[in-house]
Amino acid sequence: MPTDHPPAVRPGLRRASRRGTVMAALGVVLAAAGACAVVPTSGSPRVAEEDNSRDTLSQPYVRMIATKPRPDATPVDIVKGFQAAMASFDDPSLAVARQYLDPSVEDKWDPWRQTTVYESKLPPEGVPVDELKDAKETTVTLRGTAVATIDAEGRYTPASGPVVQSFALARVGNQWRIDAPPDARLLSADDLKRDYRQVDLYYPPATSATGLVVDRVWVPINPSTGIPETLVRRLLAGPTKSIRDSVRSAFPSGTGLNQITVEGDTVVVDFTSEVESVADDRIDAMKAQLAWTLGDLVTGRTIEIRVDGEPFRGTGLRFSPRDTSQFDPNVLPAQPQAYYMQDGKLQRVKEKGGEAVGGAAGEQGTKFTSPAVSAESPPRVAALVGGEGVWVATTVVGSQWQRWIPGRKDTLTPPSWDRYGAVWSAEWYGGKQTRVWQAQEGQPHRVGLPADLETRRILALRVSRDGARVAMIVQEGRGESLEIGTIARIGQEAQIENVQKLDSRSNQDIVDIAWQDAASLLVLSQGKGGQELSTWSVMEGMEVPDAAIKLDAQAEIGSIVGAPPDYVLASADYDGEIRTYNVDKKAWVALAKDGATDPVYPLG
Amino acid sequence: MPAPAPAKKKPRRRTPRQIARGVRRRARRAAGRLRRVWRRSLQLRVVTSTLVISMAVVIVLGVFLMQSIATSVLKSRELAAVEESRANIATASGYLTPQSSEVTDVSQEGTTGGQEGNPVDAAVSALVERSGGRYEVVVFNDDGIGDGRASGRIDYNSVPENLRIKVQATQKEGTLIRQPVTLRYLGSKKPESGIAIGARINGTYEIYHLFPLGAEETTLLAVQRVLIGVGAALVLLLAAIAYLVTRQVVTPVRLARQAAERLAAGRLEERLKVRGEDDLARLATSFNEMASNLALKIHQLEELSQVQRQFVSDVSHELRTPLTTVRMAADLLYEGREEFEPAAARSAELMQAQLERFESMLADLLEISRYDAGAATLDVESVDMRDVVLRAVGDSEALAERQSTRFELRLPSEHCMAEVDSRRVERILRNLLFNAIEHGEGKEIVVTLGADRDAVAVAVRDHGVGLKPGEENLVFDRFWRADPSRARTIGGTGLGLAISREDAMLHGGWLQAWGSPGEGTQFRLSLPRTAGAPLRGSPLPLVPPEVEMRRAWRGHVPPLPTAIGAITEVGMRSLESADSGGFDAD
Repeated sequence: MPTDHPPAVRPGLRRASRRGTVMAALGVVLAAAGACAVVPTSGSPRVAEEDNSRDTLSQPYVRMIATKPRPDATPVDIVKGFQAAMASFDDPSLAVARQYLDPSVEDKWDPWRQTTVYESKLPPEGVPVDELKDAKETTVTLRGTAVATIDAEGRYTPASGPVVQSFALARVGNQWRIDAPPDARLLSADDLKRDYRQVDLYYPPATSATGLVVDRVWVPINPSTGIPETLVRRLLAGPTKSIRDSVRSAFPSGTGLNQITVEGDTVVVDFTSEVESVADDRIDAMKAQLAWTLGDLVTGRTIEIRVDGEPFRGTGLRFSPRDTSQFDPNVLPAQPQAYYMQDGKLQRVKEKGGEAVGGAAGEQGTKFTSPAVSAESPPRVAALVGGEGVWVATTVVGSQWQRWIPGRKDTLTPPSWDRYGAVWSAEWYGGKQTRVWQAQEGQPHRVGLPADLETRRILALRVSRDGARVAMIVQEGRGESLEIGTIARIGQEAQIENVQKLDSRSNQDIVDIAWQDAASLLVLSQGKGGQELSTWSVMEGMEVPDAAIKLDAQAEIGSIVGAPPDYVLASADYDGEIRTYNVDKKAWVALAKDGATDPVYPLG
Repeated sequence: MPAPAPAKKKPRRRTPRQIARGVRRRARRAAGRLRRVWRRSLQLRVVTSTLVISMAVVIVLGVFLMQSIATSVLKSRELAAVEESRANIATASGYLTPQSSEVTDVSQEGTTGGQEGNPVDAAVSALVERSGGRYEVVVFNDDGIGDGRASGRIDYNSVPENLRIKVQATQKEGTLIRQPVTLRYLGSKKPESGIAIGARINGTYEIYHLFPLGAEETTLLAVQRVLIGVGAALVLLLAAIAYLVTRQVVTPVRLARQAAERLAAGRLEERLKVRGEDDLARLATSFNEMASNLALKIHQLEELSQVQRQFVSDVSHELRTPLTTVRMAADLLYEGREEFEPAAARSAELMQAQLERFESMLADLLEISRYDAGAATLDVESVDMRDVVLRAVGDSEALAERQSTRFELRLPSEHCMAEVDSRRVERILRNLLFNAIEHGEGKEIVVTLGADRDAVAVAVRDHGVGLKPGEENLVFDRFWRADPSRARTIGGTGLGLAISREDAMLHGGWLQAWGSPGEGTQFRLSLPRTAGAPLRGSPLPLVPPEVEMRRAWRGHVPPLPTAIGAITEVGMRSLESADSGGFDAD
């Protein structure tokens, strides 16, 4: 354009204006280009979009890679390879592990019945390679300490004692192979930690009451499905033997799981069509089972149940795990109310000092001991009153004590409430027989007991908060033992079954027990070096590691109570204080002084 | 019903070869049609070539663009992956280093045997913790037993064997080797593409990081889809633009072509519409100017020809009156010629003869000017053509005798009726016969009458000098003579054959000539039996049958191939011209 020679009168001006136009156009183009820059540098604020498509359910985990036996491996290496292959859960048929076996025993080997967990710091021992040149067979021995066994249904049973496992090897085609494999799957403690997960399954009680019962099992992670699916499949497989009579799964039998997927913040659980046959009044229980079993995996999300990819019964079934909180096996709210005895009155813990509860328990009129508080609102108090058994009073002003379980004071154990409003107490009747009572609305019922328990004195009895188990201190010789039983209920009748010794050690001096939550029990025992407070996982029968609460060497604690998740109260009898344990500071803090005793949390 | 039955039978009778042939034929026909459309449509060619070229350009550009996008996307991801792998390998290396001397003292195998807190577990757990599921880790150790670990659901066979060989062969520990792989998973998770980054550390440990590139793949697929869509849209857009543009150019050209065709067909009033001032408008203007100039010229020529014809007619008429006077005077002179001296008498005779010829010429001129003026009319009646032929032959007998020529008549035995103007047909035949006698060199003349359902034909054959190639049509021109040096013995006016042809055309018939040097000549008159009916063919051949037969006998080596070729060609041409003449007569 500037090369043009316009025949204008004032060419200079014209040219200048034209150049200006060009510059302006260029400016506009540049501005437009700037506005469509690849990465915007400015813009209006908007609601951010979130990418929820990632599979956030799956948690990272590590698997063992099973490798085939190497050619010309030594017997020791064969055994080690076999151990490693057994620890691999990639292949459910353990095809690689079977390659370490003599072909003749390959098919007979059954590793499913039991899994044995051991701990060993030493490698398997065998004959030195030099001496094996012409040998036809040899033996490799694995020495270690037994840790536990896990049965086919995932129940963990602690074990102790040495493990000496011999592997007989024979030459098969000039290669060493194991021809006498152990009749169990042998896993080291590391393998267990890597390959198994301890999971809590939740089942509604066999009665139609609202609530869930915990069943803790160990399941191997199936790498092809991941943890959530492993969990739900195990849930559908049903409870372990010990509580089979006391619970009833809400899932119709035969229900299978197709898959679990995540869609946005919804966890979609896709079942097979059998799930549709669930009774209408069991749907809530089914939802609760699923939500509680998935637990942390679904916190803050929505769960949707689908049937073969279609909405449940055509209308769909979506719910938030929060909706199922009334099924909480621990029953108690997040901040449970604590109580204690002072001046012969039951006090409610307030921020500063205490406040006597309403009704008979808050009055000095009747002397009572060993109070227990129920979970109702308003709560009821059960206590041993005078010498005349277990009495119950509501905590409303003007209430009176009512006798629920008759009996002499020194023959009855302190009362314990269950979540269904029944008071439990064991009686040493006539100096030779144990009777356990369960009283509901003033009517005591005898609880069925296994025969061997009837002749042993129960010193303390505590019903777990999910109402499915009972923890007992039973007199044994000169000491005491700790036993756990499950409660089977048929209508009003109840029965204690499957009584197992929790701590295999005998003749301990157990001071007190209290349920921390539905699955763990606080045990206060008197050891040689002073008192010990430990937490026991009831269903695994083992002490929870790292959960022991340190006590002062001089501490003389009379009683303890616990509440979920980690509230612990203890009464230091010698100076009349109630103390609470602060987990963060790992220290005891005084809650009430001046002759306060008998701390109480509802239930437990 | 008879109709479906053959339809059912037909396919059963067809063999595969027939079907194949049919398909091939159909394909060939379709290809031919396509080729024809391709050759004829400029628009199609332009649009197709635009489509092809733009497609090529778009494909090249798209591939280039896609590759550069993919490279940049994957490159950044890969760099991040390598960085992460590097950090992880350092961490893992720390875990896997034999830590305390006591462990190694107790037993070398204790560290690798997996019996006490295998460091691999700790290392892989740390890496997996760090990965948070973003990538997977696989560890191999061929020297240890039970040292293989994999994280999450990854199938450790996703690590390709050649990558492992390469990693095992690295000289320096911690050298990162990368390879694109397909990540496979246990269970139902779908395989996805990714990269594996492997390194050898602490002796024989191999650590592989498997980074899924599913998200990048999705992004790239989306980009690819967009690119393909945009490319397709672009190509279609270009094709549409080409279509529109060529349409703007081709439509006026097509209109001009159609106008030119109509112009060529004689519709001189045809004009193009002129829109705008562009090149095409100028073309239309020029075309219109050309058309109007052409029309003007043709009109002028027509007028000129009209004037000429009128002039001839007028001259003929004007000559008649003085001629009558001259004739009367000449008759007087002729009657009294015996009283003159011989030279004068001879002049009178000569004048008488030339006057007669002048009169007949004048009559012919008048006749032909009637044709030119379009004033000739037919006086149609149904006659027996045999009688017509015999009458014409009878008229020619005297002249034939003078030339000592014989007639051979080949007439059908039954009646041969036709709706014709017998006077004109007789005149045609007379003309033909006179012509034959004149050029027949005294040899026999064959007159053949043929008839079929629709037409009658009369062929007059002489065995004179014949016609040279190309003369078959010239014979019908006015005043044409084969050899200008030859004198007219019989004294024809030179208009006879021209008038005959006009007569034949007036009937909607053909008058055609065949001739070959040394073989003589044959004229054939073909007429429709019904007046006004179109003539489709002639019952008699134009080329005499004996000539045709002789040619067949000689096979492929005729003595005068060029001549015969010319004859046939001429025959065809004359047929064509006769045809068009027939239409004109309609």
